[in-house]
Amino acid sequence: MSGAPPSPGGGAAAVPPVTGYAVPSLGWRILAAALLIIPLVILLIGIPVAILTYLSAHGIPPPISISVIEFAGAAIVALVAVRHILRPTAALGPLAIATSTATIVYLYLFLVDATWRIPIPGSGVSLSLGYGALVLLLMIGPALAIGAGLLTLIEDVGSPKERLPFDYPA
Amino acid sequence: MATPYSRRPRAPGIYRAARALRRLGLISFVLIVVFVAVVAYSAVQVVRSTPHIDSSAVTMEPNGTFGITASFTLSNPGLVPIQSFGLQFRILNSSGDAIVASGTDPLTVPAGGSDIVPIALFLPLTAGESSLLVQNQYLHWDVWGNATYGYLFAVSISVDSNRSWGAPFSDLNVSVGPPALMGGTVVAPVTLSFVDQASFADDGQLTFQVVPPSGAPCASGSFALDVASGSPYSSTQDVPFTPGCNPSGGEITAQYIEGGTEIPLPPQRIP
Repeated sequence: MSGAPPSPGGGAAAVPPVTGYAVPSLGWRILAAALLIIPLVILLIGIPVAILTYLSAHGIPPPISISVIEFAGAAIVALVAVRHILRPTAALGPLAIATSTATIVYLYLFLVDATWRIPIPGSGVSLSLGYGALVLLLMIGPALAIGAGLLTLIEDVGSPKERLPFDYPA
Repeated sequence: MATPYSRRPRAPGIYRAARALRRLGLISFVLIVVFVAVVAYSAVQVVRSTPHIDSSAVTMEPNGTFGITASFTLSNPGLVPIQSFGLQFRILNSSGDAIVASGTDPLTVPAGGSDIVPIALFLPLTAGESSLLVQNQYLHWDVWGNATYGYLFAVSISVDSNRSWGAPFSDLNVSVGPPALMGGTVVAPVTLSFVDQASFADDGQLTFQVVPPSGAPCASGSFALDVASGSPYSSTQDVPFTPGCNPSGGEITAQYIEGGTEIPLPPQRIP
């Protein structure tokens, strides 16, 4: 997909604005999405699961099921990949909203029981860590992203392809 | 001659607004991650500074309790404050009765600061069927420490432990021997014995009264005590009785007096 709408004409002395765009092919976008999800898989699935597995192995019960983290993390990663592939289309706005909503739901899973109780076996000592405030702060980013997705949706409905020269400048 | 150049047109307002929101979200995420890393680093520094309870002391208090005094030193070499730090104590005796439930006032230790939390616990001498004066026992200690760390994290640590309590008049026994007539007066030997299992000396006076079943005391006396911690004590003295007194079936009441404080001891039955 590519296009270069005609520039508004002007005199010889006028500076023509660049309004063309070059959307990468579907293959390139899939490749880019595949590269993009690598750090996301590490961040959303790999690190949390590794930490919780390590702690479980040492007798410290995880605050949330590992399988829930895997499932929710995989859902977010898949949505991010699809959003990247469909970025040139009008589906970007709804996908951005869906991705951010899924991220908030993912964080909410941590918020439900945001106290981590860590008994230290044989010592009579028990440590607990409440991290609800941190989870709420982490929700700021996805909440802003929902707003961005809404604006993108409105823009795509009102002026289709208006953003493409800025998302994919030629 | 000026070289012609291309300029990018200004993006539409709604596009710029959406982009700004996305960037704001990313910036907030990065800032949160950096802050959490700082908090984690600071927490490690606090742990390495080894918060500790300084040496404690047990004394008999004028208000008729055992006082346990100590202090908790908390250093905060980290980069974020420790807020609303407080300690809560609950102590149960061997009968399961709560004999202490108190705590310290919350305080804030700023980043790079240090503070000492004074601890003062007052244990009643008797609670339920149990007396700390005469019964060695294990006391169950529940200690909680609560704080908000780095503005975001509610941290709580609890410690459960059983600690032995040594009674200052362990195995207390006051007995009356057979009365005898001496120089026209009826006297009877009264024997006091105990072991000071407490961490402090018994340095005072023990007074006693022999109370027959009929009611009014018919003999009294006192023992001067200077018993070191961990030492046994046994002494007998002849005590004059009022004529016609028959202490059998009565009891011996006793008080320990130290520094002007009078502490009643559990009464002893006379066979």
